Amino acid sequence: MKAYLLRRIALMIPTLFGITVVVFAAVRFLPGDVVDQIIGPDVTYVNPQTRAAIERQYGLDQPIVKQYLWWIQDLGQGDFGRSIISGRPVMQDLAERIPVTIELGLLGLIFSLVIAIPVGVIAAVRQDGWADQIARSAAILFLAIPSFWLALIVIIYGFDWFGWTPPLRYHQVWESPSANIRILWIPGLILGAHTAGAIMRLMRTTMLEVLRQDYIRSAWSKGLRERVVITRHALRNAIIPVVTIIGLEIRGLVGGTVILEAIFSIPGMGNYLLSSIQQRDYPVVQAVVLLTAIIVVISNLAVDVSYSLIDPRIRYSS
Amino acid sequence: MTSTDHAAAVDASVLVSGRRIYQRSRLAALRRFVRQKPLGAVGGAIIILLLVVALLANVLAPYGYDTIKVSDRLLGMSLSHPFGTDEQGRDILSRIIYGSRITVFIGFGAIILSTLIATVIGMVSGYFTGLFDLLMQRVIDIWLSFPGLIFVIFIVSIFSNHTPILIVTLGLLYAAGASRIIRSATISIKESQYVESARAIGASHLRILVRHIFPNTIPIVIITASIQIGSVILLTASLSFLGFGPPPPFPSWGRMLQEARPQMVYHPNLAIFPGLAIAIVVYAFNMFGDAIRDILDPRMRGAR
Repeated sequence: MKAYLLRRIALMIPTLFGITVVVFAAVRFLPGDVVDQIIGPDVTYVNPQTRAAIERQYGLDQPIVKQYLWWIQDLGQGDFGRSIISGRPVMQDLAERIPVTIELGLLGLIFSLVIAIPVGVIAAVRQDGWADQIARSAAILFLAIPSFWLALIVIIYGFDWFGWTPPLRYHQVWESPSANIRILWIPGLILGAHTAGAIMRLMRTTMLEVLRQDYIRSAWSKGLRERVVITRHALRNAIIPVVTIIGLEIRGLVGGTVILEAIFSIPGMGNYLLSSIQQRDYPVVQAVVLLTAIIVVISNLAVDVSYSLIDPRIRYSS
Repeated sequence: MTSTDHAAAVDASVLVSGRRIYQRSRLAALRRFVRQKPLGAVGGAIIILLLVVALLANVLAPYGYDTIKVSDRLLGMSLSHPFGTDEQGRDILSRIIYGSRITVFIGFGAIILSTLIATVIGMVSGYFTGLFDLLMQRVIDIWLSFPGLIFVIFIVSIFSNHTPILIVTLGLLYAAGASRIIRSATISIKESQYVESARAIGASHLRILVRHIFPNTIPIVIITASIQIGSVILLTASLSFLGFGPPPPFPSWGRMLQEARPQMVYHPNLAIFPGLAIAIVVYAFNMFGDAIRDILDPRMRGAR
């Protein structure tokens, strides 16, 4: 297990390196040079001396590889630079936004698992029954309905249907957990809907396959109760491919938080990203894009590790 | 007659008789498809409808997509405006009809580009393995670490939100995932006996890739493309909704939903119809893709 974990972490290093290169390089394609970005679009002329001074101050007169290495060194110390608009360190602004986005993403994931796994199992066990028909149609719908549309519908009809209105003020989870959950549960549910559809379908398919295996017939013929056969014998094996799809869905969940944060005015990283793009505040944009990619890489590591815990074959194969 | 000429002649005759059988059975195959996969057939019908609407938008739409009539603003549903009008008095039905063009253009454009890139990368990477494969796979790891929506927003904010840039960015984004699938298909095809015998008679790598491996990856390529396109359309709509889609005045369904936000509580029709259009089109592509997958490769059933 330890060797597997080490190998898996070693594989992360080139990926993380590449992510930083892409983010660093992409910003260099911005129209105008970095000095123009620092002084902003309102200033039309800068004399060469000032320009050179700014370049020296930010190290822009140095070779690009050196600039990259400095940037990486700063990142390693948790220094993501300063916002061009507010002048404050980006990390300071992000510190209270990262937990919000992670909480929303986790809520989405939890909702999707809590809904999709039992429903998928029931649909497979009662194949072609009414529960199966409803579950399958619902999964197909969840996969086709855009989350932002669902969110708009909830804003229009939410109060009539279940007395929910979008909050006027956000409460952090450490200020008031109950107020925080009251705000986030609807966006979390909407975020999880798409993933739930995908997981539900896969859960049903793998469960159907497993239920036809010989060892399940043996379990039945031993006279075990249905609950034991399904949960202990079938689910344990059927859930393995489902873990893979969770890994694939994480990117979508992280991307989806941007939309839901924008619609419900949740002060997370996504909202910060959108407002920073509008203000062309590229140190912030760079930091958020980088951090979301790192979140995806780390989540994938977590998924792979849990995968190897569920399925011992992974641990022992090369 | 040399031996190669002879082989070519045999090839041609097989091809001709094969094509005749194919033509005769095409209608029967279609009928079988409709019977076995009713949902897939419904999806296919909706896709054809979408293509027709996109093509004939200027004929079908009762009004122009940008005909502003202030006296007609925010009308409800009526015979002259079946879906009502928006806050500038533009006909919503007409805007949805014109909006189908962007959906089709970006959706198909991105998927065609992504499929081309993915097929080349996947086949070459799976066939040669070794150092090229190792490096390529690390690049794809990097690519797959960026959440799609955030990455496209990032790129669009740096370059611009013009349609060609969107298509290229989306195409590259989806190529990464698809190339993995095509790579693993190539790896298993490479081990087959016909590839081995082709190599034994001294066929070049290029010939093996083009004549032997490529034709056998086609089902996988089609499956991957048809399953991804629904997701591309959904992502494009999300981008438009957030303001990173193709620029106005040409309508897109995502932007229509964004524009509906200030009035939607009192005029729900502004938000309902464009969203419904997205959902129906994505549903159609998903169902059609599922059916195609079940028919071309039953083993992949349930694998998205």
